[in-house]
Amino acid sequence: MSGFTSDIKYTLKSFFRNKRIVFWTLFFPIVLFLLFGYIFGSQSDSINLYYQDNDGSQMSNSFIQSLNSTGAVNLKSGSDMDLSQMLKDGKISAYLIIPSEFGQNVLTAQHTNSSSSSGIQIYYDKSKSSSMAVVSIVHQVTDSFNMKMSNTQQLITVDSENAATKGMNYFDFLLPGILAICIMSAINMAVGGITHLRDIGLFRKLSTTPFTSMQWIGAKIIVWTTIVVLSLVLPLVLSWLAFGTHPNINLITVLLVIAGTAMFAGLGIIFANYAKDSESAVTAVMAITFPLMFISGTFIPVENMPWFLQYIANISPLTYLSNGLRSSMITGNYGDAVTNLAIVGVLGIVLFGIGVAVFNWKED
Amino acid sequence: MTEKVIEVNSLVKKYGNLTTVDNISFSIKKGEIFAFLGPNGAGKTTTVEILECLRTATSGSVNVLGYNTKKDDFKIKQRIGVLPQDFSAFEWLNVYENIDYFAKMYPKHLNVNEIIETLDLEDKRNTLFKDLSGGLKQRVGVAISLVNDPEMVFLDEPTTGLDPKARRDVWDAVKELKNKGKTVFLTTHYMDEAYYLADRVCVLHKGQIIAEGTPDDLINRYGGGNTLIIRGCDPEARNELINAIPDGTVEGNDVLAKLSEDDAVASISVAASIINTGDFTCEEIYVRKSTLEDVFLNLTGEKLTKGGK
Repeated sequence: MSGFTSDIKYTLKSFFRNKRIVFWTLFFPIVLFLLFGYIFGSQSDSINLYYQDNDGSQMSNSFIQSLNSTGAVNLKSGSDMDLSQMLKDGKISAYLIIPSEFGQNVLTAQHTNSSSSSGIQIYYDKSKSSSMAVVSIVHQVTDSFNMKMSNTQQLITVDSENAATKGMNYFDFLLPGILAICIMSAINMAVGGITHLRDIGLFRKLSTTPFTSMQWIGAKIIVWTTIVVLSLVLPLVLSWLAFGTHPNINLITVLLVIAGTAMFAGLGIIFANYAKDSESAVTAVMAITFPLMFISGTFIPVENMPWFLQYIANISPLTYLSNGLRSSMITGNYGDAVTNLAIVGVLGIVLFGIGVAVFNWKED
Repeated sequence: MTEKVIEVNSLVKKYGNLTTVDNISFSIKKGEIFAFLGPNGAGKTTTVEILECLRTATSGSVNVLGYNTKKDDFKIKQRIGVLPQDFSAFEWLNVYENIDYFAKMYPKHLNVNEIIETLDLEDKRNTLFKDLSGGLKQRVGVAISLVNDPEMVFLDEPTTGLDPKARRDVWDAVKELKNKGKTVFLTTHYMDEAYYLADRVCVLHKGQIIAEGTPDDLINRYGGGNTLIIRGCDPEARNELINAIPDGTVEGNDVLAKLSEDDAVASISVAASIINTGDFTCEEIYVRKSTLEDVFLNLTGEKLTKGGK
């Protein structure tokens, strides 16, 4: 066994013996996945819509069935509930009132060819993101219902919108973001590993042996990639078993993982080269990566953030990695995936190249 | 003629305008333990790291085992063993694994189990490095420095921060290296360590060599002679003694006198005679030998202090 393989073997051995590092690297992404999945996923996974049918006619019943048939909302009868108070209390995001004589008014309007004077009333809480979706769905169903009554043929519009809503849940959105965060951990491995070994004098010792710094970097890129890949397995398995996500792992995904690891490892090597000691280096890296973790389209879409955060997200390399993974694995938008791969690939080559060029364990 | 394994001529190392090593020359013979003794900032570690091919000299020539450090660093690295200052191995690997890790860095290396046996580390073979005491960690460091069966071993401040027992253990390991025919280059700021271990000592001060020789030779030349100490004397005895002994001085209840080689025995006899005939009370009488600490103090006017780079 050469020094190269010995370094790989013993670095991995050290990694798995350090339970703290194993937790933060392999299991913490799972915690993040579950935490954010349940916090945000519960808002968008299924939208509850309470209704009160004050008419009880065949027409009102038919309208509710139309709404129900979209599958976009969970309809719940709130006949005996104080829905107004529940909305004020923040317990629900919207509710629907079908007024009395709704059916009669619709039929009258149909016969006289005029507008119905009996409109459906929807009350919603603007602060809840799901309420806007409810309003939109109700409007769409109302439109299609009106058209149906007047024998037009434009029902498809509503159906296609419903399909888009049902196609992707929050866990689907979150999974690529979590995987991107796992890949970003290469920066911590590089910074932590290099500065720690330098602090404890191991680089000084290694540089007095025939083992070269290039061999060391070569061994480390294998170790870091192995650990990154292992950290991706757990969220993938969990999302598949627990949330029914079926990510499409293809060549673009694999290349994104490799390029992303090189990109963040390169950044880490550059960082470590100019850091005084491991403590200040790790703190500085955390100060940068921690905010990026939240604003790079990992937990919430970039479009939903304020403009200034969107600006930062656009210069965050994590955004392109996260978007690329999402396009290649979840949405199947391969054009977008290749664009993001090109960005991450170029950054990976440049940053890793600079990292290797500046890395030196000689102390002159 | 004894083979020279290290030859350094007019070595200079500068960092900007700061001269860390200032035109020093020395040589080391095969099989000897050679020590660099000096305080913090004397230039010991910088010099040693140039010999280990870790740093590059600003000027001067440095040959290690017949190879030039600037041109043949790969060949030198295969034939030297190094225990760097403040060395720490991999915390989450055990003793065997740490030694094995470094053994694999060399094209040819010794059997790891044999090294463990040599350094008396069998009981700690499977103990993680982080769980070892300071002395054992240094012993593992010495073991690691031997994995390639080196001709020349560099030990940079090997006992700094260790308790007396651990220091003794490391000293024994270093003595054992000499018995095995290895040449040892030791840097230390402990004068007792240099005295106990070294065949030859080079005293460094502000980047320059200010004295070189065997420890006893340096003490004889620069130590200022031995000191006669008569402790716990009553006032009458003190008066009689300082009048009778040349260069006698009083410190508290003690009488001290520097002894030259010529009058040492005479001075001791005079002191014993005065105490006996006058029936004076004195607690004890003894001769304190000069040390390398005295050598350094006499040469520089400063004390050896803790630390050392």
